Amino acid sequence: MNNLVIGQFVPGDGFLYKIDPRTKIMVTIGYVFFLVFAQNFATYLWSAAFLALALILTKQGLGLYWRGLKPILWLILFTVILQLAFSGGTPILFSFGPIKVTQPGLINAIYVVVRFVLIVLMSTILTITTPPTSIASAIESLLKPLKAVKVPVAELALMLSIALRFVPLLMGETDKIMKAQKSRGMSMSTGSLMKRAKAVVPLLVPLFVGALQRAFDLANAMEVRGFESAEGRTRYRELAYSRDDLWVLVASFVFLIVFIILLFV
Amino acid sequence: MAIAIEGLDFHYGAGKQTVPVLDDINTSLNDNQITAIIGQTGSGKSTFVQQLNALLLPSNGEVNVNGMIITNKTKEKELGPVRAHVGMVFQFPEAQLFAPTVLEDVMYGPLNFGKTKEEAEAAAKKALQQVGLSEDYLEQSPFNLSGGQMRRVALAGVLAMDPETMVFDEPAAGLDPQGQKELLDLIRALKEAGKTIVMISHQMEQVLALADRVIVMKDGKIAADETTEELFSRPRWWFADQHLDLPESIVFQRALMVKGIRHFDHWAKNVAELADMIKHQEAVGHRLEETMEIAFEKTDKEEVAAGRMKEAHAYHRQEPLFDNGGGAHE
Repeated sequence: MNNLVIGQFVPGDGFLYKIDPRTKIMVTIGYVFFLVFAQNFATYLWSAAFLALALILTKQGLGLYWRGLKPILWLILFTVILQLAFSGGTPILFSFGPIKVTQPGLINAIYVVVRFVLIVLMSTILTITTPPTSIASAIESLLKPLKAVKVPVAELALMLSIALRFVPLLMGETDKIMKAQKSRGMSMSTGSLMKRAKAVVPLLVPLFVGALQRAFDLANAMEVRGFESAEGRTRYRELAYSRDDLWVLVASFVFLIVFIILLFV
Repeated sequence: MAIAIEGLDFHYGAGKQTVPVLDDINTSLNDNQITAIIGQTGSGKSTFVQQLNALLLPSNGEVNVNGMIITNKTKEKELGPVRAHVGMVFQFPEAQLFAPTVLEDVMYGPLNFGKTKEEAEAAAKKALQQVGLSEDYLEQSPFNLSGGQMRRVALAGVLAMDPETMVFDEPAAGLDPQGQKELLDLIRALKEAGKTIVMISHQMEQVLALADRVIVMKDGKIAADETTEELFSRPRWWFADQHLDLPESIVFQRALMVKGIRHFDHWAKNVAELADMIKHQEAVGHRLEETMEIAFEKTDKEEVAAGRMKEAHAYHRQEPLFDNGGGAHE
């Protein structure tokens, strides 16, 4: 369970650690958004170069990112097979019965893999360099304009930070329940697929019961301490842009402009 | 010997970031005995007992459970028999309930270990009876029960597996006095039925009342591994060093001995037994030797160091704390 890198914060002292979380979130979202438009070799290469720069600026080993990619390898493989098997076009490279692997299909499959990897790595960079609490407050800050249309931004942000707070708790709880059920003979590594799927029930039910119980307890504790509204909460760490954020923005714009030019070349 | 542990090390993590938890543990658990494991929070007790049914595998060394040897290379698939042999009751076990009815929940363990439906049902009913739940509860949802009843159901879930060895991690935590008493009676009954029991406890009174043998853990190492009688004969400062308390009845018994009011040939299991012992014994009527007084009584800061020296000498010489002859001071 501790091998999961996606969504995990890893302490470090690279350049990207000093960047305001709002900047990182905006750049990541922008990057993922524009990557969807990439269609030729040049744009993918340019995007990969930008990602490589970001990777270097985190000052973390590549092994960490490789571990981040591992869990989704199967997903990637699955999409590749779909792309290979069901893309039309000519010329046909080879075929098994009704399934024809075509050259555009192959190229598409390669692009899909690259896009997948780039998106996952970029989001991994965001979460590796940004503690969850910072991400929560950045989202609150970025959503502020929505207050004008009566969106309860402060409440949403509070919900988000509570949800994040629950993640390690639930991980601990999962581990505990898993051990208890293993002691009672639960086995997820033997038996048919159906049997293994069923083995999850004794794990999930106590987990949900426990989570709901915790949620009620927390709600009570908050009410007892006079919680009425998340509006106007102060925080220990105020977000502030610095000169470094400006550099990141400049770099991102340079990336975007070249990206657009490459699209039409 | 049901379970033997040899050269056991355990650490979390790998590579540079390892966190050592257990360090060179060598011991074995005697059949049909109650072994208590005590020690401060964070001393490695829970990690240690999780090695006993291979929930955690040793980083180095091996655990031998009834001939099945567990090392860090043992595969998860091979562990079924180990888990059937050693039942584990975790702290607050009511968190593991999941089934729609009490009966189904208790049958879960036996079914996993290859019992037929009929056998499992019979085992479940027997286990529920053992923990004092009547047949009325069989078809109820475990989530509608009170906390104490949920604990009983969870306990029955492990009992129904009928393991040879049962491990309890702070079984009495959070129970009311009546519930605690019933639980301790149950543990005693299990021992009488031939089971081997391991229990983690923070309550020294429980340890004194129940355990045949005690393993004291400190910073991932075994600080003491001896009979309950021997353990509670250790000097008071030793317990202070382990951040442990002496049971109240023993503090009192020692005070009686030190002041020369009474002497005894063994430690009373609880206050009631101590009262009994006093009732049936004549007063000694004189004080014991000065060394005994230093051994138990001196708390004055300046004297503690001197006391420890003397105690340490006495301990190494293995001098008996009890005067078994009873008449040596006449």
